[in-house]
Amino acid sequence: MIPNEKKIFEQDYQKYQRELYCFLYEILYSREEASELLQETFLTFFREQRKEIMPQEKKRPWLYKVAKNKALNILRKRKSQDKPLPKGEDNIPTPEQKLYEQQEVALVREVMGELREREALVLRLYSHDFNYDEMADIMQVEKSSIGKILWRAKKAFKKRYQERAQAEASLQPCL
Amino acid sequence: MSKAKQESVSNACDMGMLQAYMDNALSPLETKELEAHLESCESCAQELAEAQESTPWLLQKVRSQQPEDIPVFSFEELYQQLEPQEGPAPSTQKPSFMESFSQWLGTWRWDFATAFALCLLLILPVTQQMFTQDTPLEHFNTPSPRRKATPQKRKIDKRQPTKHKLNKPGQATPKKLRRHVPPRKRKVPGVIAKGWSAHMHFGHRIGPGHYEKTQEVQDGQVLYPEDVVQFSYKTTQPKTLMIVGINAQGEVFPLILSSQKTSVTLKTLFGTLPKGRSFFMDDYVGQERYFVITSSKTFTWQAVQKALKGSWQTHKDLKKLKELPGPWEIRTWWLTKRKRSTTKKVPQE
Repeated sequence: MIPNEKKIFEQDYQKYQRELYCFLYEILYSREEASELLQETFLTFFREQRKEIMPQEKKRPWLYKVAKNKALNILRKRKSQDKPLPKGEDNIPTPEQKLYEQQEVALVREVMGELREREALVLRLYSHDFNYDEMADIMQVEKSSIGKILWRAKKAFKKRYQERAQAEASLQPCL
Repeated sequence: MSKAKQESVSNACDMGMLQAYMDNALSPLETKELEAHLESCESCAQELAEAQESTPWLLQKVRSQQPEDIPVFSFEELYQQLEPQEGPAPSTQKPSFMESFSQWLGTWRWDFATAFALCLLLILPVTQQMFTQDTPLEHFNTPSPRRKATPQKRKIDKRQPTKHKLNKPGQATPKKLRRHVPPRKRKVPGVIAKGWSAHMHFGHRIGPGHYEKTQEVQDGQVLYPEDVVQFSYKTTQPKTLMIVGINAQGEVFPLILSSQKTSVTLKTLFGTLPKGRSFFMDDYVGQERYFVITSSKTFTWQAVQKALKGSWQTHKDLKKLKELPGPWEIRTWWLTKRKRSTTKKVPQE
């Protein structure tokens, strides 16, 4: 029995829910699915905590690992059913000054969708400021191969982004 | 030509190391080695510069995917969905497969046996029938010769009185149909928690300095003065512990507690108490009950004394232990202490 269980759980929840939601949304581009998985992930997390108390530094990678697995399952199911990529925040009215940003977001989304699963994942984790140990833990690969995966992912992203941007001609890479 | 050469060089270099170097993820030795390599390898140095330059751009692009407004989800709602926490002392250690299986078997042994017997009873005639028939379809569509034959047989049976076949109210159920009531689930006395265990061993005294082989104390164990006793424990979590006894008069006395009259904080997850030694039984004659009480927090002798006082026979009074800090757990043994017979013969229970 964890004394002050609720308090501890709430602290963890408040600490990680926002970034975890972002992470899930970035993978799924769907608000509904992201919030559903967020809740599922935290419920799993709380149950796990009851079984064994986790050291504080392990909590964040653990949450991301579980969230990643759940999200990738959905993503794979989508791919097998040939569902189109959700358009994200299309329901939000777009002010004119945001048009450019919106286009760019859509472009990045397409590029990320074209990358390999683990390349896209490593880029997302990298953008969430994880260190190499944590990334290796979340992705279940050796720490020594993280650098290589990341390098390839960056190269692939840059290449594809530039190709697409040139094709669309309206957008120029910021390099 | 030179470009091709340059590319082959860059392929030979470990780009993963370069990335890790950029992110400060290399060991000091690896860093030194790579820096030495960078001085000699132009293409790597160039790659590194390019990558360093493009990293902020890349991060900005990837982060642009984040939703603009993040909804706030209520913790309360989520917590409602979570099952309530189990009793006061949930186990922290999963029972092993064999343990849980034997426990399960212990509980369901009788039901299992009855179910098996019933299955046999049901299956045997069916299988017999199946093997005597040509095809399963026939069984359903056309009455089999066997089926035709049975009514004739039954006709003969009809001559016998049938009134016993129906169970009228007040009439005893025929033995065959009586439902088997499984025996009450046997509880291991005193074991409340699974995350830890305690055992008590004793050795009968044979003569001065000589003792019988040690055995585990069972409930109702008979002990004699000067027999040796030792407690052993195993736990999955750090605990503090006190061993106390209570006699048939309801008097509580300490067996093992720290010099400050508080519980003993265990330094290891398993061991014996007293550590590496044992203690002798006193001359008290009559029934006694020994307790090992553990908690996650230190508790005092006064609290235990107050809680246990007068609780000789019942577990009910032990609820008073709730006053102890932290979730407490308890293991108990019943003992009978007798005077050794005057003859020097080794006592036998």
